[in-house]
Amino acid sequence: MLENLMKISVEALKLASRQGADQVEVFTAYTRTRNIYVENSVPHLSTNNISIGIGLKCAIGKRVGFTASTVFSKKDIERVVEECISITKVSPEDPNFESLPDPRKPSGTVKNVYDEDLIEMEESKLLKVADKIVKTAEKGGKVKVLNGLMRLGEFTFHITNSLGVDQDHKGTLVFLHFSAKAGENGRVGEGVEKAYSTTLKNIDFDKFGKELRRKTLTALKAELYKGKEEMPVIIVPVELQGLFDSTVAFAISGEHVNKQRSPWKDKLNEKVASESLTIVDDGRMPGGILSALIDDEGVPTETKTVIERGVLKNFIYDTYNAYIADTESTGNGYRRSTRTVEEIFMRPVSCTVSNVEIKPGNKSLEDMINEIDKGCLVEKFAAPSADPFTGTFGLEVRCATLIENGSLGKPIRHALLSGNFYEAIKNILMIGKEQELIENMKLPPIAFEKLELIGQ
Amino acid sequence: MLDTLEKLVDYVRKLGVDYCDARFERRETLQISTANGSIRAISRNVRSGVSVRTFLNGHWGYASSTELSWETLKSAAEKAVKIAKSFKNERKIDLNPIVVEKKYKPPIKIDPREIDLKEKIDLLLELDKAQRKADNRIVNSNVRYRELYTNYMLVNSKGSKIEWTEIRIGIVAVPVSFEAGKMQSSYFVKSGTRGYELIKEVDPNVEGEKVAKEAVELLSAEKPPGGYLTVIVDPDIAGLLAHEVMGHASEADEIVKKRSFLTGIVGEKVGSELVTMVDDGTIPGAHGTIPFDSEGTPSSRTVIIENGVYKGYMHNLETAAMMNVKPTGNGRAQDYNRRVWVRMTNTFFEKGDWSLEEIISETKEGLLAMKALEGMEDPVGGGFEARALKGYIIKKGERKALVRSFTLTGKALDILKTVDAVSKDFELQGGYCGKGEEDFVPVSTGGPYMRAKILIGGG
Repeated sequence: MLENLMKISVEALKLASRQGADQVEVFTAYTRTRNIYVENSVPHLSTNNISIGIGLKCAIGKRVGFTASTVFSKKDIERVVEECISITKVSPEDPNFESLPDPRKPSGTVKNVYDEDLIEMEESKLLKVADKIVKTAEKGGKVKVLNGLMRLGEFTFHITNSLGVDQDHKGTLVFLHFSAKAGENGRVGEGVEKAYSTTLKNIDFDKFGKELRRKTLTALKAELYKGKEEMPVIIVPVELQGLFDSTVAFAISGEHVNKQRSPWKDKLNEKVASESLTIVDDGRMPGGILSALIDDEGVPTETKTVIERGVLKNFIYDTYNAYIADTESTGNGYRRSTRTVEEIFMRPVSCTVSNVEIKPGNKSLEDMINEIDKGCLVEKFAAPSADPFTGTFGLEVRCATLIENGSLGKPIRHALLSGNFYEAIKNILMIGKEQELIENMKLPPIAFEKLELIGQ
Repeated sequence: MLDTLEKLVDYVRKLGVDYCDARFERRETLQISTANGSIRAISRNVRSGVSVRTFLNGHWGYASSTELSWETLKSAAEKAVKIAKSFKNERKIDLNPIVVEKKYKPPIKIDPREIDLKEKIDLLLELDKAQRKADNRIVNSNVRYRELYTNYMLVNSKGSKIEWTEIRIGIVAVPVSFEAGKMQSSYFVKSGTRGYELIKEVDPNVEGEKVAKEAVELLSAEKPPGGYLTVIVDPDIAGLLAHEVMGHASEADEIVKKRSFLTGIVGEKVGSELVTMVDDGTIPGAHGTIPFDSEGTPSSRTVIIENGVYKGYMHNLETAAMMNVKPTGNGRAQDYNRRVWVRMTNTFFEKGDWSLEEIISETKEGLLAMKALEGMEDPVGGGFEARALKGYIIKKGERKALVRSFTLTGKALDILKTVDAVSKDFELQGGYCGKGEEDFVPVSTGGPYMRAKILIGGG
């Protein structure tokens, strides 16, 4: 497949240069995605999708244009080049555009990003795996798995530009998202479990099914929360990821710093979080969803500490934003996403985090609970995110458990958890030691000192 | 291509399935974005692909390809059949599609593809500049423009043969304001299934200045109150309540597996008499309007709640067959490589006869909630969560202090039962809706201003 992609790249590069582009970047990719959907306790629908395509960026002086297309024939390549050149010619000059990246040879290796077994696995076996999850979750009664998605993705991409960048990468991706419902005496509860991995062997399907069951039964017991109180709150990794992604990942992006909209734009080397918080952006994290030797512009990836013991140490840059900030790209130009590999060639590069690791503390979740007199452990929000500009959030708690005298007490639901995430990370009580991979973040549970829980 | 699809469906039929269809899609997108007065990106995308769906013993096998040679499509079709045959647990479901033979072109006035790129760029830069010109506390101005031209062809094994086009266009402006360590933002959005005439209705200077001033005003907004309050929601937030909670839970795939809190509720009273809610895919120009769904069923108007009484669900081919009703044209897929689910189109509460001023003047104490930021579905629990950009305190029938962003939450049915005033002003807002956190399809949501009791927090 790589050979086919390289042929398309070479052809497009040659045509675009001949038609007057000063600089050309070609990203070609092959993707295959298989989805197994479970409905009402049985696998019910399955898909197999294949795509091949190109993303082309041309520059004429400071004018820049981007086109992308699925590619079926040589005519498609010619059309893409023609459209890109015509767009580039009429685009106003972008004073911030300096150049595409120069070639830099990546060194080292990246581990656990490609799974041959996943590619070879037959449909009938996949259906059995999905079925096993359902049976594990439903074993013992009361719980019914109503929705499930098991996605397997494989991709190969080639990135080349007219300055000499010429790199490729292949990877695999597994994404699981199951939900189950339990009902009793007119009450219902829903549990959701997700898993992200680059390989099948890294997923414990039995544990996945059991966790889905446990979360569903906890949600069934949850009572409406009444009252309004500030208290220490532990948030588990799967819900914490969205909060870090909407705020910290936004604030450290060179693009938002350049655009003057990062709340941390003037805070380099200043304290922005509690001393216990260290965050690393690692383009080569073993088994990381976005791990590769190069980013999607062909720039070598790096491992860099973004926040060290609460102090903001680095911003992250793709090539475009690095030129604006008069620095070098940190290998943070991405087109790929964390849940699917479908048609990655369609998106232009944006300046985002690669894989993020939030360094673990030394306490188990149980120890963390034991150390809280009165608080709350949140296991499910409706949709976890905070305002990237201000950090404020007011999140609907779908399932949480109150902590009383160091032990888990009553499960609750339909409450609001309210606060400011940029402030919350300055007031961290404890960080857990058990990390989980959620999308492109590896993170532990964290206990925050004081957040407001509001009930009806 | 229509001939190839016919040949493909013929070929699959002979492989022994209960039902099959083949759908071709060609999507042309132009996107332009600006930031701080200059063009940030111009991109043009074209995506073509064929999806083959096979239905056998009550289960689906799908395969899609962007390579469109007969050999590749034939092999995709064989793959779809192989997948359908690999399922256990036979179920007896007879799909009964409405058979259609038609070619359809949307009634737009100006084809956006015929407008010069330079004209579009000039307008976007004007809208961008107007934001920063309005106030020097605007530190960042952004504009995004998107036009999407999609050509569909569909053939199924029951005899449907359809070709249609959908055109969508939209413009968004987002200014960011900053002062004394505080940052705020606001947005302006206009979109629909219309041609470039929609963009020509936007005065870039007026809209740019208006939205920028809104972002600046929010810098000095007060902290919102919290608790169980009398709240007047604007059409935008009313639309979120209609769509996220009542709408998602009225999608019949959630009903047949009894996941929805609205399962078996037809005929019951679920809201005050002032509450009527509809999903209508036929509204001219609205962002969620579709001539046919992704299964070739013509779109329709489905009354979900009428004067407070729950009426019925939205269907695709499979759920309609399972519940023995007609499909409603709500079987939609994000694109050729995604599955068809039951999805909404344009979902809204019907208007009433109050004016907004009357509602405010007859509210002793409360909160006017304006501009939705986000919301989340909860078909199991029926919980409502929406984030409003801003609001106004209402005291003694008058609009008082501006307050910044907050969250509205509560049980949807509790909220609907307390609706006691509904305005005659009505608006639909275009957007994209996901299901299970992905599979985004164009929709619109909206309604009138509505007054109800809602839990507020998160300021």
